[in-house]
Parts: sequence; structure tokens; C-alpha cells
Amino acid sequence: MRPLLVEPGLRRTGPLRLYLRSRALPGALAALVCTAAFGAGAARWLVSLPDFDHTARLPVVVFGPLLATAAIGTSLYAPCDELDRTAVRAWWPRRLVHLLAPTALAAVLFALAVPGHTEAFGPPAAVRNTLGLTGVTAGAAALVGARLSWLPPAFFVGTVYLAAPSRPEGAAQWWAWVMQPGPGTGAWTVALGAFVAGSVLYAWRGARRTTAES
Amino acid sequence: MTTSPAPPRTRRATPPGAPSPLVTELRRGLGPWTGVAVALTVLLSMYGKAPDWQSRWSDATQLLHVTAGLLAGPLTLAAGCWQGGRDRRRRTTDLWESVPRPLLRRLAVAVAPSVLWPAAGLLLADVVCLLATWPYVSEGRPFLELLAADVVAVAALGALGHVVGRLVRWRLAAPLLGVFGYVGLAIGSYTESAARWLGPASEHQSVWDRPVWWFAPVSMVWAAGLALSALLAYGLRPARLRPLALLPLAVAVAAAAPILRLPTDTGPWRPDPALARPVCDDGTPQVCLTAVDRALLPEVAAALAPLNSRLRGLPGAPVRWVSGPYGPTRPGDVELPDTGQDATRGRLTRPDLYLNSAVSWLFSTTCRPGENTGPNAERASVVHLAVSEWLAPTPADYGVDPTAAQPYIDRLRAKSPAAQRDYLARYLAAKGCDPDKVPVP
Repeated sequence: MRPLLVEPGLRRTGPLRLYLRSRALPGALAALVCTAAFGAGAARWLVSLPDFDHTARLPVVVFGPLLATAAIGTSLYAPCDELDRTAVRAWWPRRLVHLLAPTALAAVLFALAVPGHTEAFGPPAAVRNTLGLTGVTAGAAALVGARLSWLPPAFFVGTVYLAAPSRPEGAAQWWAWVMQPGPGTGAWTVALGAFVAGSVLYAWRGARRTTAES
Repeated sequence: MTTSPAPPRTRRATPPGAPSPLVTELRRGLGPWTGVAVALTVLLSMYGKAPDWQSRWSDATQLLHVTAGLLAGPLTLAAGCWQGGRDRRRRTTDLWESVPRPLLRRLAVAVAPSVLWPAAGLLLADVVCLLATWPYVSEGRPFLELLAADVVAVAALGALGHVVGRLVRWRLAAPLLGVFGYVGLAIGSYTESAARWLGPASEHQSVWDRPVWWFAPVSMVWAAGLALSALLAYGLRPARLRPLALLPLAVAVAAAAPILRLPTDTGPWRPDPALARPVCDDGTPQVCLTAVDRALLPEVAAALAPLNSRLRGLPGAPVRWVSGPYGPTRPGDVELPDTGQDATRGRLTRPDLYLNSAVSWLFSTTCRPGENTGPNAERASVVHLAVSEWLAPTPADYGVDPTAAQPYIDRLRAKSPAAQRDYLARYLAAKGCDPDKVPVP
């Protein structure tokens, strides 16, 4: 008889489901969907206000993806990191899938939440901000730990939000990329750069091992 | 059997030489970083908008107020929430329960970094921005009481966040609280209800107003009362003492009542005649700015000098250029464009643009329906453009195309000074809305 390597209960649950549960991913995905739904409602409400037009959707395009990436970022926390690292299989493809799948979902949801007006704050801007902020969050997870990974992007967005000039011009399209309208090349370059760098860093290093204190 | 003597009781709770728990709490962990983050957030936002606020106390105070409410507030909420969940993450809650100190006292020490550091960071940013404004302002005072109310509001948000962090065990609690805190604080700027003056981010744009004296202290009581009530409701043990938390809540609600009775549009802001008092130079025509912009008077007079030299002594020319909330009050007064748009740090950024807007304001008339029509209407509008461009050419980067008016402009420039004065007098005398009477140069 072959030795029983896997507990019967575990076999029934399946490693994927266990993985999802250990990372609290169901909760994170639910938060993500709720955020997108709330964002869609807020965008409609903002546009419906007197004296406001479609450009009033800027807060949704900035803060919605920020919250969605916070949900993704906090789900990167590994409760038994040292145990995980003893596994035989390489972790980086799993980490990459864990990061990219919710990001794709968030990008699609936010693109649907702010339809139309691609030249201003429509689907392209929402997708760009989702990708860019996911990159920043994933990078932060690798550097400061997953549970606090929302703080660097939140600090960045908070600082840039009022400081950005109202017209897209000059250097602002680089440093205030989250505030730019959809088509700006500079903003897309920075966002995609942040996305690639953050994702690679996270896939390579994983979330920083933190003690229970942080 | 021997019994060891009981250790002598000391009055000090901590061994001599050890820092007090409060100092340790304040120095370690997220607290100092929160203070730095709040200060940096406010300072960087203010730096980005520096040309807009560095000339007037009210502009500086208003933007500091909005930045504190909208950005420092949610950041403090999130940081407080994170700090509040610390003992749970460390799994030291049981250890704390074994400490022979009442929960309320432990809570007071634990909440200190969430409250004091953001307040200190905001205070630092306020001081830096006010010092940066000081050299360029002419009149009035910074509304320090409003800034103090902001500091209290941010501290209160830190305490509320801390309590939420203790109660809610979810990794996403802190960022969620931050973003929804932002939504809650920002929603006031989208609505017109009186309730928006309860929030710490309510905005009012008028440089000639000041808040009623009681608004800032009452706002402080409102914010502090809410926070204290939450802290007491969480920290008072045994449970029969909990109703005491209703006391600060009642005080907060009582403080909210007069705020809710404020007018919805202007809220606590009332016109201040001292700030709107006209300050004039002794030129002809006189240039009058409000006391708030007194430092700009020489600059504005210099910008208008070429125009004034042409207008001086002409019949129908303005007697005074006036700016401010009251507008033209005497016959012969002509309104000046707002200097706030064109001035930065006590200087006019674009004197040529300012002169150009002054000329368009001088000749602007409101025509009734049916007027300004007829066969000569198009020619009259070209003449209007030509006169404006002759007196003050629009800067090249502002997109006005004077090609159609160029022949008239050339003719006006070619005239002798006496003929130019004669034409300008005839132009001023003509009714702008009657195309047939507009003289062709």
C-alpha cells in the first residue's frame, strides 16, 4: 500500500482552494468587485451633478484602482512563508498568476465602471491606473511586506492628487501619471514601467517576510 | 520556613531610567512615519499649487484647510486603523490584558501615536506654509483658529481610526477606511447642504471674507467630542460605565447644532470690510485695489500706465479702476480684472496679459437682444478688436488672431498722437452696442 502523503480532507479540498483560502483571496476578490461596483455608481452620480461633466470621474479613476490594488496587495501576504519556500516547485509562476489574474479582473471591471470618453478619464485611464498602481503595490509588497503594501501607493496618490496641475503638461505627465487623461504616452510609460518592475520584483522575491509585528 | 520580604513599593510605574510607556509608544512603530507622511503630503500638495496661494493669507489658509481635510484626514484614519490593529497582529492582546492597568489608560497611551504624530506633522506643514506666505501678503491675518481646528480634526480622525482598527480584524480595514474616509470627507465639496460645514474639508473661495469667531472653537469641540466618545465607548470598563461615553457625544451634537444652522452657501464666512477697503494710487485715472492686494498696487499701476497715459484727460475715460467685491460704485468707475489670477508672490506674472484683460473689461458692454446687429455689425466687431489690439496686444500664446483687424491697427498706429487721442475720444463716446456709431479708424 502506498503511504498516504496527503490527508484525505486535503485531497477533497484541493490545493488550489486551500491556497486561495490561505491568502484570503475570496475576501479580496469580493472587495475588488464591490469597489468596482461602488466606483461605477459614484462615477454616474458625479456626472449627474449639476455643473459637472464626464471629467468629474477623475476621483473614481484614481481612488477606485487604488483600493482595488490594496485588496490585491494585501492578498499577497503568506501566513507560512518559510514553509512555502521549502516547496519543490518554483513559486514565481504561481506568484505571477496570483498577481496578474486579479489585476486583469480589476482592469476589466474598472474599464466597465467608467465607460466612454477615452480621451479624458475613461477606460484607458482606469486600466492604466490599475496596472500602474498594481505594480507599485506589488513592489511595495516585496519591499515592505504585503500587509502594509497599500501604504506606499496610497501615500503617492494622496500627495499627487492635489499637487498635480489641472492641465496635462510638461513633467507632470511623468510624476503625476495617475492624474493624466487616457491617451498620454508619458503616463502610460511610467505606469507600464511600474507594472513590469513591480510584478517582476514580486514574482522573483515574493512578499517580504515580516514577523507578526508588522 | 523563611519568607522573603515583599519588595518595597515604589511610586514610579517604570523602573528608574526606563522611558515611560508613552515615550516608547511615540518613538517606535508607525507613529513617526505617519507624522512625516502627513507633513510631506501637505507640503508637496501645497508646493504644487504655490503660485495660487502664496500672495494672500486667506488663499493659504483655505488651501491648507482643504489639504488637511481631504488628504491628511484619510491618511491619518488609515494609519490610525493600522496602529489600532497592532496588538492583534503581534498577538499580544492577552499579554496586555494581564497588565494591572485599566483599559482606558492603556488605550490612552496606545492611541497617542495615532493622534499626536499626524497632528504634529500637519502643524509643521501649516507653519512652513504660513512662513512662506508671510513675506508676500499685504493685509489681514492667517485664520490660525481654523488651522488649529484642522489639527484637532486630524487628531480626532486618528483616534477614530485607531478604535476601528482595534475592533475590525481585516487586512483591508485600513486602506478601505482611508479611501472611504476620503469619499466621506470629499462628498461635502459636491453638495450644498449645511452639513458640509461639519466636515474638515469644506471650502469657501472669497478673499474678502472671514469666519465668524465661534466657528473654529465649535468645530474643535465637535471633532474632539466624537473622538472622545468613541474612545470612552471602547475603553471604559466595567460595562456599566459605558454610558458615560454619551456625555462627550452629547457635547459634540450640541456643538454641531449651530454649525448646521449656518447659511448653506456661505457657511461661517462673513464679508470683512477691512479686507475689501479700496486702496488707491494718485494717478489719473486712479488705480484702486482692495487692501488685501495693496502690495500689488505699484505693479498694477505700472502695467496699466501705457493705457492710462492714452486715456488721461479724455472725455468718457474712466476716473477710477476698481477691483474687489463691491465693483464699480461711483460714476466713472471701471472694474479691474481680479489680480488673484495673475499675481504670484506679490508680483504680476504677466503684466501684458493683465493690461490686455483690463482693456477688454473697459470696453465690455452688455447689449440687449436686437442690438449690435445690422449691416455694420461685423465691421464694428473688427474695429473693437483693432482698438483692443492697438491699446494692448494680446500675447502671442493666447490664440487671438488679429489678421482681420490688422489694416485698422496699422492705420491707428500710423496716426499722429493728437489724431489717436481724437479717435479714442470718439470711440469712447460711441455706444458699443450700436454698430453704426462705432467710428472707423
